Amino acid sequence: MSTVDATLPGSSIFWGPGKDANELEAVPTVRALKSEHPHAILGITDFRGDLSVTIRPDDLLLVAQTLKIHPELQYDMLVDLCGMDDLLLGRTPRFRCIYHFYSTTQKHRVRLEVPLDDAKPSVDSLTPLWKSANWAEREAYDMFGFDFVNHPDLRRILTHEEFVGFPLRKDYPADRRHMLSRTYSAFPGLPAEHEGRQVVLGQDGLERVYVNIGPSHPATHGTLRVQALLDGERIADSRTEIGYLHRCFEKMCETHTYTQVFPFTDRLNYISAFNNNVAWAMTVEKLMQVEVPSRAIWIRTILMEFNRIMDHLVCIGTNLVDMGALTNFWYFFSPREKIYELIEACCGARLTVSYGRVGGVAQDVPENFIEHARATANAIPEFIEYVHQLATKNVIFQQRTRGVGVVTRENAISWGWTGPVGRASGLNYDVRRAHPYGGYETLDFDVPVRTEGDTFSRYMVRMEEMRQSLRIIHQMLDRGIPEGPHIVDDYRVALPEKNSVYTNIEALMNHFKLIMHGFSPPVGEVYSYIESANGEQGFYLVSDGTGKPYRLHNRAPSFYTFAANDEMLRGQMVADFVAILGTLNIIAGELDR
Amino acid sequence: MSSTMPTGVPAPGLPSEPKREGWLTTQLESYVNWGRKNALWPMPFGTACCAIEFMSVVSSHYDLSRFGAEVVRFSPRQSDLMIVAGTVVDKMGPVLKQIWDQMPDPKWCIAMGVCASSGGFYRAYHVMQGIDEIVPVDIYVPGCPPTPEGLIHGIMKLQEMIARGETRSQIAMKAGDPAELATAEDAARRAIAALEDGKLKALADAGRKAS
Amino acid sequence: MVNLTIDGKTVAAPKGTNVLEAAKLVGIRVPNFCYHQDLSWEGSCRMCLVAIEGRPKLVPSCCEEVKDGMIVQFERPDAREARKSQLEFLLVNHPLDCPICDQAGECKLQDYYMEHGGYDSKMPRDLKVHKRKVVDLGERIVLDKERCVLCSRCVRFCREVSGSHALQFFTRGVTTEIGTENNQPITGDDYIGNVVDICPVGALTSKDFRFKQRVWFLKSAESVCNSCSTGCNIRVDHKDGVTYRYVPRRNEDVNKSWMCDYGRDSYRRETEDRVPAPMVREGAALREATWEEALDLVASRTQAAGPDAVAIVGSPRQTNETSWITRRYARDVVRTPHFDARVDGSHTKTALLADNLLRRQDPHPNNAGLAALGMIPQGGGPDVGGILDACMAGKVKVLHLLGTEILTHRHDTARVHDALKKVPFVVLHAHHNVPGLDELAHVVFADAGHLEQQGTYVNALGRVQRAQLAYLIRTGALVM
Repeated sequence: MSTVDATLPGSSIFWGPGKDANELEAVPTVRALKSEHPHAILGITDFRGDLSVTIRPDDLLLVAQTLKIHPELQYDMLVDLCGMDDLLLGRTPRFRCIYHFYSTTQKHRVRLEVPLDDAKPSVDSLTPLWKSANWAEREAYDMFGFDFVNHPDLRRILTHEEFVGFPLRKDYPADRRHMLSRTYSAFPGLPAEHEGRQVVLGQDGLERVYVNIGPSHPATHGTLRVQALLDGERIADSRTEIGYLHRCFEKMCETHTYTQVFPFTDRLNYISAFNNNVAWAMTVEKLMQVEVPSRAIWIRTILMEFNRIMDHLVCIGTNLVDMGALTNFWYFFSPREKIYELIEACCGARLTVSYGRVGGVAQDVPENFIEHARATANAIPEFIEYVHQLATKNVIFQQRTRGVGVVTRENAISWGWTGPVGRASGLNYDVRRAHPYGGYETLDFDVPVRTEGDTFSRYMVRMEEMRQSLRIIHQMLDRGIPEGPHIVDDYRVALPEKNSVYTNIEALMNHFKLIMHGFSPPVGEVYSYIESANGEQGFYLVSDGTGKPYRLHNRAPSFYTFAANDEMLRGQMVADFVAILGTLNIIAGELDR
Repeated sequence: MSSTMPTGVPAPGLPSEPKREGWLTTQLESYVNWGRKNALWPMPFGTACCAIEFMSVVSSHYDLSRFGAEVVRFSPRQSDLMIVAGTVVDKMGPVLKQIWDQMPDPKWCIAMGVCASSGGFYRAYHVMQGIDEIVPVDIYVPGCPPTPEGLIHGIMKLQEMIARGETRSQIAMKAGDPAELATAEDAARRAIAALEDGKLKALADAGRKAS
Repeated sequence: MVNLTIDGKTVAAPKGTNVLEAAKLVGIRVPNFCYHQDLSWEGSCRMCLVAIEGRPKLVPSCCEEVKDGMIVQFERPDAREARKSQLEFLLVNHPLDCPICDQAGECKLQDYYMEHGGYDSKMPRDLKVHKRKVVDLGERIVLDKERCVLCSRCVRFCREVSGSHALQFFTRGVTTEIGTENNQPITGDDYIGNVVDICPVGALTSKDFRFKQRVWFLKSAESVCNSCSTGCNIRVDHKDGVTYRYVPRRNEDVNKSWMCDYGRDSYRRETEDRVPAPMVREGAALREATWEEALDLVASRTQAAGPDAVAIVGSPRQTNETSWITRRYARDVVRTPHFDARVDGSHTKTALLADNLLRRQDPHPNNAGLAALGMIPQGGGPDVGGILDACMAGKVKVLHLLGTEILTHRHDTARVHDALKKVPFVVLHAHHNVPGLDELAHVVFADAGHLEQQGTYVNALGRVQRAQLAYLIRTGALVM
């Protein structure tokens, strides 16, 4: 029983700029929900174009079902799920659960907000409808203590087993640690006779072996762990365990200013760090309605494409190394060094760049950028060709990747897969095409989509994407870089020029306040997303008007990709796991945040 | 064995220089150290972004093989240099300790990057504030991430220390006592003390918040 | 009540309110430099200009009384422009001092630029008029004449509140500056510390706080000053268990926006020379002991002495909560007839000068609280003077003092020392070391400081005020 009161603040209808009452009524989602579940709705808002519906927790399952199957709605993907603690905003009830839905067919989005009881925050689990809810709800439980009724396996996912408390709650201090005394089995509820034993007897009387793959393992790219129950070489059952790089990104962002968040975003998908910067910058720009000058957009887009190439280089390179093809790793790291040099010339850093800023980029590109970029872009195809010749038609590679780890399109959507892994399973969704930003609508490029959904098609999609990225880069280089400033001339977000900071009191004060206090954004919530190398990477930002974000949630594509791991591995061989994992491109920085 | 000695500095009571037993023994030892330093077998304990820079270090452009550290094995039992590249969080702590314990002596540890050295800029509820909470570190390489040159510099410094026989592991081996065990116990005691301090600090924080 | 409209919102304000205050009631923060709630209306800075319907020009809202039916527009374009331009004028000669100015982080120029300014200035730096910086104005104040925006708050304060007329305007035109006659140091004004609080920029800064800490690192707690029985409301700015300053908190009824300098300095007493842990006498000296040991010792000696040989003296510096427990302990647990808390003998026999502004003669914050709690002898028992006599006569075996005021605040200190020497077991609750502690006490309980506990005090006018906890205790002390 929920104790939510109907007279919640925000229960009256109000809308963001541009959508009046009539316009809002015309939105299919609003129309459908109002006709099917009029009593469930507590409020509808449209802030910065984000449609958000607040509903009663008791009605969540029915409303969600309508969202999924209603012919006009067809919200087949649960993009994101996260918790909110409104304690310092003075709202009652204190907790909210936020859901973001997307329809791959109708291409519309909606956010559901469900206020939860203070004392016992509890709501129905959405796992029966969308598989992506599984891990996302575990994370909301871990961070906030929400109870998801009928969740198959509600336990901590990011923090360790001996952690006490719910860290993202506002009354939990950011640096209170709990020590972990030992590693635990990843199989919860293990039968007593299995505990601590490696070799156990299966139901058919044959032996099974528990094998820990990771978290320290050459092929697990750092910190992933799969505890597999092996039947010979086949994986009979497995449990994927993450959180071995949980660096408390979301909590850190609550204690740092908006600009200070940029270095934290670098370290999410650290293989292509700049893309995270841009995703975050776009989120704040959406909130504060900041227009980015065209030069900055050009710089961002071209470097994002270089970063996309960098990401795929590492993904494929390490994937091949794990399968034993070492030379390809050297081949792919060489062009990566060249791209490093390009980025280092722009901002001084190779890997974790912090080059993006709200309203543009931190500093202008050097004068010879176009030549340097062209030289870099011209140097890359050769290496792609080498690897293509070595690997793609190679018999061993083909046997290890064809038909391995097949994920159907429906399954991929249910798991929330986007990006190259989704497109390899037949889901034709690329944010650059579907909801263009950064000038992508003016560029000529193909989005490779395959239908087999196996490891080989994921590899092929990435190889082709690199070629398409090069195509984009050459188009942009041919157009030339637009004149103008590299960051918006808006004193609310952009630091003034350094020489005026030293000669002009207004510029000095401006600089001072922006650094020490941060921005003064409006109060509100936005969700903004880009196509990062792994898929739809989104930021859900809640601002309380102060210089630090009140809540920042990162929708990490790797998180939703890896959630499908256990299902994919059942019945596969151990060696297949290595091949599959490489193509999923799980980056622990964004997986664990 | 003192529990408060920083690593790499000889503990009191033990000779600060190899005992001059005789010319032959000393020469033998320096040959052995020469061999050790020029054939480091790294065990990359890569967790995060620093691991990518480590990959750059072993790749053709920066090429760590020039320094003899070619054989990158992910098996602790066949390596002697553990390079912790990236943040180690509390969940990973027991894993790191287990890997370190599985390495045979002499063994060395490089904390690559600020996260491994002191927690980096993650002053947070799940991040270990430096791996020296649980394992003894010989070289701290600062940077976020350190440039490949920085890591190579750190490895070269370690090589110099190995040549001089100054590292904690070499001294422990020479002293012949179970100093390794003592160091691990001391590290554990320090870690628990740090946790208690953390609890006190957390209480203070709670008090501050209440006010 | 007067009804008016500000930016479309209706507001009812009492007669005599100015438009600026009325705007506050509907959440509109009108920028202002010269206006201060507790000083006269000046209208010289022109930052608070608003548009009022029917007036030909923009009107300074701080000088305009509200009238029925007034229609005020704060956000009209010309009012916005006026604010911007006025800020620009004020900044024309302002030095680029932010990196070294204490006021950064709480500076109105910075805040107003971000809220109302945002323009690009074309003022060349070399054309700025320069004035004297770092003018030493005595023990407490440093004046930087360049930073001053000539709002006259300090001049009006010295004229209207403290009466010292210490600060004045000199010269005129673009060289107008604030200062003292011949830049002499300011003496004889016990409230001069307040000009630092009211100065909206970094012109007047506190010597005591100068360069110590950047304000955005400081945390605040709302407390009450404990230097006299007025109980001025204060804000304690601290970081990591170190207090950096006291700043007065506005209380219409107690202290308006002011506090005296003596109280302002009193934060230092909180950390000076603390008793770190319970002490127990061993031979001639005191040594540190655990709480268990000290408590056991006191308990056993108190029990052994019996109710008639135990005397308990409360303290007017303790909170009401602590005092209440003391009273229960004395009356219900020990049941001693020797119980009083008026350590000074009378409330007025102190050396502190009272003035007609804020300070009272009684240097203790909670004498009224003790009276309200009934911390006086009952059933004809002796008062503090009588207790001291009983000690002299050897009738008291255990003397339990809840504070050290009896050693420091009486005029008959010699008699107190002699009396205490006669007592075989003296227990003292001490916050910091005082002379005589070593020789006279047998057990010292380390007391928590004023900022390390929360509680209430009753001021001389009977007002109960709450003091918040600023930070947790860092020594081995405990809250009594």
